[in-house]
Amino acid sequence: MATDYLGSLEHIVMLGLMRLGDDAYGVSVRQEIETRTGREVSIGAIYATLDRLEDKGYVRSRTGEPTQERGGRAKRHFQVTAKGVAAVNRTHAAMGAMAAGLKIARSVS
Amino acid sequence: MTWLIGLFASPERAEAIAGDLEEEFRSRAADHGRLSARWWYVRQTLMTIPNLVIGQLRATPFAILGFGVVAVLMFNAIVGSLEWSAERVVTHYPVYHHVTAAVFWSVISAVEIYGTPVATGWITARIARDRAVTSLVVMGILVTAWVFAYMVIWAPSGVLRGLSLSEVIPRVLLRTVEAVGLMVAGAAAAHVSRSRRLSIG
Repeated sequence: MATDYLGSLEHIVMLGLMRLGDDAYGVSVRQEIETRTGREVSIGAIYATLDRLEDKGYVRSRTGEPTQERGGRAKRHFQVTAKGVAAVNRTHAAMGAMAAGLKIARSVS
Repeated sequence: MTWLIGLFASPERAEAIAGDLEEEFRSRAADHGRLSARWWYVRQTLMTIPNLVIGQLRATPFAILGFGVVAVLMFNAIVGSLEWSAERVVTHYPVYHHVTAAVFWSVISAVEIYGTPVATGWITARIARDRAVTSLVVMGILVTAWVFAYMVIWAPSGVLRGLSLSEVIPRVLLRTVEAVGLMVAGAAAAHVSRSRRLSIG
């Protein structure tokens, strides 16, 4: 849907996935968000968001190989789709349009 | 605590989450010590569960509600069958020659109060798999709300049998929490037993 914007955590997770590229999985996404925003997010919140984004077709996932440091459990890797990139751009455009000309928005940060 | 996540997530999702938690736990244990890492692990696990529950409710609300309704019907069917069977046994066999009526009915009552919710939880987990606990908790909340509403509406017509609402509500709440708790314990036991069987197989 062309008018579907991303929610705040969806938006942050999508940007995290874009930054991480091929190395995007639960731990790396969670740590990227925590490092860059200072916001502590539970791994459950990350997965709930990723599942929602996958249902919308904005990301796709694949299961990796099990590794020893994960107790023999497999990673689930995520990747942003073209539809996901369009959703990020649409959300940015809407944010930009809403913030345009608002000096107060800049003075707060 | 990994089994706790398995109660609210599909096996594939639970594996990915448990793997992520273990990987970060090991890294934190090396950097900050095991105690700090363990605290982080417990906190992350507990923070994760509400997200998984909300995710299930968003993704399949009707299935969650449906399994909850099945659980309530099953609970009532088991209780009804138990009482019916106990009465048939008393009618057709000289049970009271072997045990007193008080002992016999105490045993039946204990099975009804403790055994039935555990059995209901177990069977629900076999049917609903990773959605069982959410279904049971949601149904517990809805049934409690319904009972409270019923009591408040019908209180003037004597449904409380001479007791006040403030006396009845804590009892009902305690009984519901106990029943739902036992159902969840039954579902957890079924889940753990299934996980063990899968890992052995």
